[in-house]
Amino acid sequence: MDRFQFINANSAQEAVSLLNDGSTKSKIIAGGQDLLTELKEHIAKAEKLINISDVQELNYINAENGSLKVGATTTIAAIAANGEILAKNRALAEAASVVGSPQIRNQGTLGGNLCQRPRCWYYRSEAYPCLKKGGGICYALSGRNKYHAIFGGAPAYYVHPSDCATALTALGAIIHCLGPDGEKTIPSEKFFTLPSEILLPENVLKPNEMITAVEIPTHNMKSTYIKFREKESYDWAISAVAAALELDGTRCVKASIVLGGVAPKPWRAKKAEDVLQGKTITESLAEEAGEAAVDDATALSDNEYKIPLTKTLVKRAIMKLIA
Amino acid sequence: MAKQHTTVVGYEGNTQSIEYAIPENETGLWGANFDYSIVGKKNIPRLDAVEKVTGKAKYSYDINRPNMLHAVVLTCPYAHAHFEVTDTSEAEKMPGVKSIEVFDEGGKGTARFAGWLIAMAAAETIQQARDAARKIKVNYKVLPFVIDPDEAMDDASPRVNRGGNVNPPEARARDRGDVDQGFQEAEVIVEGVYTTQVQTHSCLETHGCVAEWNGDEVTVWHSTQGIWSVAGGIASGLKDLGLQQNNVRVITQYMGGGFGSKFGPEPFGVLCALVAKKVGRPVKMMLDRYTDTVYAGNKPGSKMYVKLGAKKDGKLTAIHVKAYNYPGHSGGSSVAIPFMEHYDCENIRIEEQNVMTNAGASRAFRAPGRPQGSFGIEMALEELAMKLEMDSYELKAKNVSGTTYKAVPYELKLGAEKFGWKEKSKKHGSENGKIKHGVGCAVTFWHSTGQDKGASVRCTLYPDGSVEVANGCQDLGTGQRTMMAIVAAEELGIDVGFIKVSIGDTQLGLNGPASGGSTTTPTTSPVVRNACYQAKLKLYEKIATKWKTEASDIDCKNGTVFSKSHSDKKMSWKDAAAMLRNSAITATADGFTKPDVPGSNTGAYGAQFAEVEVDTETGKVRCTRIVAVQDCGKTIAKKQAESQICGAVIQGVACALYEDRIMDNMAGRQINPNMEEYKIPGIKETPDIETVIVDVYDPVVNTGGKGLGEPPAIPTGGAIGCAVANAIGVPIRDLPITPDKVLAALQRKEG
Ligand SMILES: Cc1cc2nc3c(=O)[nH]c(=O)nc-3n(C[C@H](O)[C@H](O)[C@H](O)COP(=O)(O)OP(=O)(O)OC[C@H]3O[C@@H](n4cnc5c(N)ncnc54)[C@H](O)[C@@H]3O)c2cc1C
Repeated sequence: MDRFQFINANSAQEAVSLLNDGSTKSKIIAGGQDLLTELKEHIAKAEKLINISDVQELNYINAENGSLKVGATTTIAAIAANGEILAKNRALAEAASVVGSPQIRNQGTLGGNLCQRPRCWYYRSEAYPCLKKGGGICYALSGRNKYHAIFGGAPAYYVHPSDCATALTALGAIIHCLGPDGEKTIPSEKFFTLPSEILLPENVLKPNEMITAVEIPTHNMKSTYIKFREKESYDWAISAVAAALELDGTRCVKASIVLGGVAPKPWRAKKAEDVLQGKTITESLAEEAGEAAVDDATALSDNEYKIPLTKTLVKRAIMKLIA
Repeated sequence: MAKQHTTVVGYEGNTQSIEYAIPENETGLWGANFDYSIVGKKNIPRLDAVEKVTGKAKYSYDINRPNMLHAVVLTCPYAHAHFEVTDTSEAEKMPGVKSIEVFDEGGKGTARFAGWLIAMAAAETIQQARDAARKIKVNYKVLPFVIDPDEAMDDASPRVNRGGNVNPPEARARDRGDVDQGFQEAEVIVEGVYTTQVQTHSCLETHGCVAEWNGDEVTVWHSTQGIWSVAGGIASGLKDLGLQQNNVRVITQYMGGGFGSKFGPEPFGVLCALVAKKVGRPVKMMLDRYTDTVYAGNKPGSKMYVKLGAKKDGKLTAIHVKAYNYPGHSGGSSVAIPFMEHYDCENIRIEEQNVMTNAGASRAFRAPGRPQGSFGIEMALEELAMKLEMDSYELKAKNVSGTTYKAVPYELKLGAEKFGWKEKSKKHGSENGKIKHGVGCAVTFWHSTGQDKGASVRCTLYPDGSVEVANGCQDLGTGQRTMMAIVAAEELGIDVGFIKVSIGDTQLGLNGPASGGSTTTPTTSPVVRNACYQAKLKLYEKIATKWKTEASDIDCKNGTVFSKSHSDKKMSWKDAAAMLRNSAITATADGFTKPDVPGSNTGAYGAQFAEVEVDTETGKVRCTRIVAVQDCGKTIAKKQAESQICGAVIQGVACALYEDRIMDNMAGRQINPNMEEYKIPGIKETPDIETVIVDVYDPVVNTGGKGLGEPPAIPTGGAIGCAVANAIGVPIRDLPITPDKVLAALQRKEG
């Protein structure tokens, strides 16, 4: 790991000032679960790390009047254990509860989880100068791509690794950011981006900005998160579905279906939503929604299985919500 | 002078009395009619369990010497390249750096896989060493390479080594009977191609060592399965420095797994000792996870073309196998034994070749070649059962036979009962619903034989009643100390608490076996007995004088020494030992004499039963339960035996469902050399494991003990593969059975 300077920030404002003090390679570090690995593997470079993990004003869960606001340095474990979140935004609680292992959930933060970098094995190996590291090609396209994207890949076929991002997008979350020009809010839907839009990083955040909180406005949706992994003990999502439905009995008033582990960003399954909108949910409708969800999928050489798998997960998530 | 003995041998429902001869100074067999006080009676926990879980036990990884340097190795990133270390000056100038050394003469050579050792940097801290290693300038001339074994077989493919990629060029064949005749007799024939993946050892403690000099003597703490070969290797590696083996001490008190991958000094072991000498400071080098994974060995993959012939009743008439083993750039493997020995068949032909690729070299891995061959034969039999619409247990039971020492038919039957096979078994693929359940079974065999000249054991009796038993072996993690203590306590008739076991140090000066091939218990346990026997006779002679009787009239049970002829003459073990006053009794036994009973020593057998649950919509397979029936001759340390079986089963589950070394076909590197993408099962992937240990009294050595590390590691993958076929009605012939393969197979079945 190359040398870097480590600075403790006492407030979000101070962290942003430090990010904007003129030096180029400064980065926020929270739980360090992802960033330190990247530095050790020589994937990322940083001259200055600004530590926000002790910033108390960023560590909170506020659940009031039906809306939810979670500070950026709140741990994944705290989110998973919160009863209010489980009651009203179950998909987020469920997503948090299946992030990595207990140690990772105890140390990892929400902000870090959303800004973590892809886990693509080519990206994560220094030996491959891939597109995501400023190189010329995406090795996954003609290489080994069992865990790669079936949606929105071009020109780089990594998948977004965050469980929380998928759930938050389905729940219509808003990301609160702080930069040199002050605060701004960005809907989760617009926060995460495809490589065809922005190659680096995986969201619209500028290097001199940070996330301060995530908010979920009041809603009437029932939600769930289903994550498929090869290994239950800990594993990244091979495919995942966050489904949030506003229901009138078993009739679907409004549907929000977002897929994880299959695209470079949380992938809204618009066609599946359209299938459900205004209809009474039955097993066959859920099946139809599953089919619609993968309608536009294109497989690479090793990941064809993700298509039937994702279809199943969509169906199961919907059925779980009316059970 | 040989002495005649009698004993009872065999296993439940199949015993017999035998006679055999053994030299006077050795002790006779325990056998089935021996009055045991500890073995099989007391469930002795692992003696060093508390040390291990509290961190008191120091592994090589934990050894930190005053003033010690840390070293890091640099490996080649290309699958095939000429390399030359051109400039080390920048690296040498890095902060804290004390040494930069190269592995190959002149720093040049040809790397045949990505992971080839090139150079080693030693510095004050490991961080400094890592930084320095990156500054070593190496010139690479990248060469064409081949990763895919099927491609490697093509004559036009790049050559991995000087010879051809297929070794030997003509398949070596093993024949029994007349295979053509066997197929002519067959009423039904099944054929299939079965493949198994490369599995990496992934030892929790990576390979490495600490070397420290004191004058002309060097001490090496090495994470190894064989301290003696390390000592010999360090001495010969540094003979130019005038080093002789009498000045090399190797210590391995505790180790975090080896599974067959940790024999010999390793090039970095020799280099550590060299740098320690040159710099005059201790040097520590433990491989990082990446290098350990790509460099330090793996279980070779295989492709087996299997053809079986059978009668309509399921009796095998012929087995023909053409197998290709994939040992990487060097080494070789064989999958033959499970095809030849697990089931009865008179006509067998096995043809085998190794196919070399530009990948890390294979090493021994817990029953080399056996889990692969077992998967092949069990799956082929499963497909035979499907074709004959027969219950696969019935079919398999029909094709095994036993002897007094070979309990496999009994074990298969016992396992089926414990497992509840009758209630659980159903026609292949007959279950409705999206989640399907299946059962499968498989047998195992391993020749866990002892080396009669392989160990010297010293037993010392002290006046306070305490005892030391010492041998130059090491504990691979199997519980060697506990096993030796139990044997000594049983032989001496005292509590295990009296006994201290000293192992893992060449300075003991006692020959000891390498921990491999499931041979350590049968090699050391009889010698432990002999040493204790000789020591106690010396003590008994002193007591005999006092009691005016013969030493042979004296015995000790449960801590009481007594005269067999005069029951009033007795004293406690402590009082007996106190007669030694200020001296101690030492007896050293060298090896043991095999009783040499005809038909004996047939190895360790067993059978495993697996239950799986397959989600046909996601392709996920979960193994929910394994019943493992196993013998290891006479079981000496039951808890440790159970733990060996559980560990073996978990590695078998890993091989069946999870672990896979995935190679990037473009650059020829392992693309998942880490603990995230190389999927080692965790607690949630671990099935309920029920161990059923069978005692088979085989007059192979005086304790009747056989090794157990390997036998239970053989059949798990096959049993699980069969269970999956039973559940979904289609065989998945390619390990590991991952969701992508299950979904693809189901799609093929439907479409
Ligand atoms: C073995 C392993 C398994 C894992 N499994 C999963 C999994 O199954 N699912 C999953 O979702 N994740 C998984 N993760 C990822 C892990 O959850 C995230 O890495 C973790 O939540 C990151 O949080 P952190 O605070 O440690 O981030 P850090 O490592 O501190 O930061 C990660 C990145 O986010 C940036 N960052 C951090 N906070 C902010 C902020 N407030 N504003 C702007 N940028 C910020 C950093 O600059 C850095 O680039 C796994 C990680 C590991 C190591």
